[in-house]
Amino acid sequence: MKNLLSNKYLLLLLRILLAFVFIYAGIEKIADPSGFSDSLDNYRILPLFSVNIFAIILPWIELIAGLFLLFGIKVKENSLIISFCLCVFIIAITISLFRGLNIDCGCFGTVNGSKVGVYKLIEDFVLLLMGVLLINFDSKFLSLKNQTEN
Amino acid sequence: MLAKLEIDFKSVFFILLVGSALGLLINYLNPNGLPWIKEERKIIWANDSLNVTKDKTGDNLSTSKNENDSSREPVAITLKQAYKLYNEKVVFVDARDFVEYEISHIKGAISLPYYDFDKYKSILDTIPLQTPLVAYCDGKECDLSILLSDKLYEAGYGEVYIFFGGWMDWQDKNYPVDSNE
Repeated sequence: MKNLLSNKYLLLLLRILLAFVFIYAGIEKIADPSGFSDSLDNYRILPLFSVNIFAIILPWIELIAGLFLLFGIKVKENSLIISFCLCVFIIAITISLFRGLNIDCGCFGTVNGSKVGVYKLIEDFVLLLMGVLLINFDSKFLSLKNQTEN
Repeated sequence: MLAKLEIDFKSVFFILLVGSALGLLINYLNPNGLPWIKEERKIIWANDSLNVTKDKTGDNLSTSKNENDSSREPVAITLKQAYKLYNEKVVFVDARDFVEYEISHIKGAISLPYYDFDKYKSILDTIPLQTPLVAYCDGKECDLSILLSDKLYEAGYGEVYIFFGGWMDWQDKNYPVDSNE
């Protein structure tokens, strides 16, 4: 099982998938900062004074971590950042579900908005699993660093 | 355990720092950038004296408000006010998913799901802009009615109301519904 999970092609696939999801999520949020700020506010978790700071910073961290991951730069570190973000998203969605909030999740900006729900929770858990595998096994195959060294 | 994973925390910190700095810089340079501190969203409530009358054309309903109430932005209304508008044949707009609308909705309401606004917005072509509209969703814990009312306002509707209690309060009072259950 460990051999299968540490297969370099599988890890490369997971790396690219996770990277694209976060690059897309980052770009969509950057394109509509006020919409993302409203989405964050709707969760009613963050204090109001901190909502915009998160709305300004989070998409760029997602984008940079996604880009680094795509090119295989600091895979473990960027996977850790992404996995931490996913843990926060999972907690936020779970709280919203328990509180019965019928809100836009803001996961990929507000274009094609989708509601907070169990489906989103499963989606985030799958992404988190991918992140944890990358933290554990790394993925150096076809990475920019390896290419420049060769 | 973390040491076993050989994670370079300096790099993690550096990436977070670069991301944060870039975000703040781009936001600063962006003319549509966000203020650092978000302003509280104010929900304005309609006056108690909300009355519905026929407008000049006589065809469409229009609400009259106090003269000093110049705001045309969407205002929130209570269940009592919503029922009053309902009896005056004001158009109710259901912001929930179409599936939820199909199961049951306020009698005579039209469906305009916020999450599929672009798909369903053609229904607005048949409704003149001067028509007052009441947006509603599940209830006080949902924000779709507020979001939809903003979209309707942006689309040119000058008299949009947010029925804050929404579907829950309406059902509790056993007010008229259309149901497929």
